[in-house]
Amino acid sequence: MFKKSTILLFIFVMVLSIVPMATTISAQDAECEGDVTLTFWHHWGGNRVELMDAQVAAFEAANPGVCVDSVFLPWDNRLQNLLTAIAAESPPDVTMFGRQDLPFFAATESIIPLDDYMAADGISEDMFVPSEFVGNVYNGQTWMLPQPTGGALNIIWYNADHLAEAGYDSFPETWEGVLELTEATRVGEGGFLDRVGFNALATGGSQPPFLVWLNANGQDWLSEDLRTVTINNEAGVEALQFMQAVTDVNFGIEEVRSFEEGVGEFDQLGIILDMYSSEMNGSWTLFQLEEHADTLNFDVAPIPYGPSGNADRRGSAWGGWGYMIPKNAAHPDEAWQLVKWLTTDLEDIGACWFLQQQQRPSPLVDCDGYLKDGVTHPRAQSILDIAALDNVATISPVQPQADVIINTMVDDVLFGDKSIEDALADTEAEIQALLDEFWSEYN
Amino acid sequence: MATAFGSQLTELKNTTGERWRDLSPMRKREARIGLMFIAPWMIGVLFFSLAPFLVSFFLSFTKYNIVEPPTWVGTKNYIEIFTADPLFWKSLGNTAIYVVGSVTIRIFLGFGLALLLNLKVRFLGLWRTLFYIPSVVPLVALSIVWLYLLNGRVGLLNWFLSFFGIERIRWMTSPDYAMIGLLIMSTTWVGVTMVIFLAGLQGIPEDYYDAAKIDGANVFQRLWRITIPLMTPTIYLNVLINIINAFQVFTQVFIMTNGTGDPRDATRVYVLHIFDHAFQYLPPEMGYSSALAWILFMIIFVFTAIIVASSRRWVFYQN
Repeated sequence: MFKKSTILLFIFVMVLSIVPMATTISAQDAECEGDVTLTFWHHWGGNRVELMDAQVAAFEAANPGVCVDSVFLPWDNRLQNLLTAIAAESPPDVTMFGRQDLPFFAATESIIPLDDYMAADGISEDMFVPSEFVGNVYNGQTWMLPQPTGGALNIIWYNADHLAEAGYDSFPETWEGVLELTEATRVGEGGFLDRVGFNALATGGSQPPFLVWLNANGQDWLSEDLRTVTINNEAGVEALQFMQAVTDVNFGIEEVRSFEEGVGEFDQLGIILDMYSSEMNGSWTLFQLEEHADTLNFDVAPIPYGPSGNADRRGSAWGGWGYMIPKNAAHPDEAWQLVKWLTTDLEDIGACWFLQQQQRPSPLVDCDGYLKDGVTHPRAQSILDIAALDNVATISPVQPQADVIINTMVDDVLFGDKSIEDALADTEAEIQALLDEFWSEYN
Repeated sequence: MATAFGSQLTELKNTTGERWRDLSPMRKREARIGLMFIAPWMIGVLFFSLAPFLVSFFLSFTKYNIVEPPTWVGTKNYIEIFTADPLFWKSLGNTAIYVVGSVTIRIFLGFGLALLLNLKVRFLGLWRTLFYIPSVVPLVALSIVWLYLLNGRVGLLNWFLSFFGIERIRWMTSPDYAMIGLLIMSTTWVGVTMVIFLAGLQGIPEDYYDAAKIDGANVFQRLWRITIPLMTPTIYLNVLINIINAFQVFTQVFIMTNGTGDPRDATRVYVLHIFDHAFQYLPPEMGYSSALAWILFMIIFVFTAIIVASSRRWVFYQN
């Protein structure tokens, strides 16, 4: 019926169409041999990639027969990747996970609870700092283990030389003081910035800046039962007024956003590029400063508190990360071994070592994240003292949408499209409606 | 059923109007070989285009969060889109502005470049290549480059404008200029339009121009009376392709605004709105985003139908 050459050509065309798919499947370590290969997703980019690779290699060495296909994925696309994988019933065995995303996945049981595994291996919540463990529990079950911390996200890192030039020997404690410092250390003219003294719109982690400032003003944004939004009050008004005042000092929202285009992560932090005199960022900043700006004369301070707040409540311990095992993971038992390694190991190149290399706080009670090569970092106590002033902030089950609504509210005010009072009222109502809908379905 | 199918097959006509049963054995063999070679593509279309196409239509009438089975809700998604989603209208409006702006730019600029590159000048191949190369650069890389070009502080575009005394423009952080920045970026792909126009220009017989010159027609008269009328089929093709593509703008907006559609939703285009509802919100709203996608499909379909129907009035074919 067909010539042999025609059939061969057809087979060649079919093979060509399949080969590109085959070559993108795996990037695992070729030296590891094992019956089980775990797919592991993480978001540790920049100079943390090699630390994660070392951790994975150590796990493989300690667990013969188990190999790990470690995949770095951008943080911004985490939900898209994870949801698609779960829907296709081919999720990773272990994935790094944001605690702010936990409620939905736990409510729909899309991830595996870890209580039985923990009980079998003697892993208890006592091993963790209580404020770090609480965000991994939902409806009485433990769904993930914390790594790294959700606290120490809001720390002021400042250029001591810049502040000294302006007559400051330390960072102000109050919002009023910060406003004055912002003006004193700002450099720029004609409505264009050359250096920002302080930017109230940029914070560490993914928590909306408004929620950071509301917390520093002594107000919780959500009730403990996660059902009632509480932002439309005097503390909320003051928080927005503060953000607006600081932004006005920096020549307005458009100029601030334009200026922010020039900064980023890792070696592109504003304070490293000398574009910021001070910035609010997380404990991971220390690692970046040590790597990329070791001659910078910097210091740390707790974030300032507002008129309705107090000195004992500053940053908000919000979200944070951890590791979990999705439902339908191919190798859940081996996956648990990897989760345990990444979150509880104190002896080998595991959880504690990973944090110590970065010199950052640990959610493990028995791990000093600032102890490296037998020496505790001189900044350790300062940062831990600041973290001790954190207040644990609640996360809603509709947090991604709530974040968008809250950030839109801030833009509404800063662009002059809404009054502060209207913006707060509308935003509270909108998020409340989302929450009510969620609880009516998943109660 | 096999017999019915077989009889239907024999009734199929090929492109020259011949029925299958009337074809010679050699022609039938050639047809089978042809079908065999397009089979991989057809299988791909069936599984990766047609099936998801139909499934998404079904999902548009459901509430579906990806991790649990879909729940039938009827037309609730569609009603909510039109009555309770202000970002739907905002994103549609932004997309409409982008469509009108980018298509206009690419058609006029592409046509103009094609006219220039149809002249006999030195290094013609090099010029054509230079104008076309940006079109083949990956979109993500291009978006990152344009982020630098449009940077409000150190961008190349502001540097260029400074020579004309124009003050720094905050392209991607000002609601007034962000969409303009995107439209400027859309000139990157003018090369594709230009190449299609160039092919059309080279299909116009020289005899028409020779005759017009003899009759005393000047350059503009030849352009208006000969070139443009005979280029209407190519213009029609380019307009159609560009409109369909422009309605689906997404990647550059996602990269350049970090997926936010900022500032102030000034760059929130329709497909970004679909993406947010599908993947950025918890719980995900795959049913809702499917409904959004089908509305976009109908809009593009209607536009395409209008252009096709109107083409009888303004498109002239040489034959």
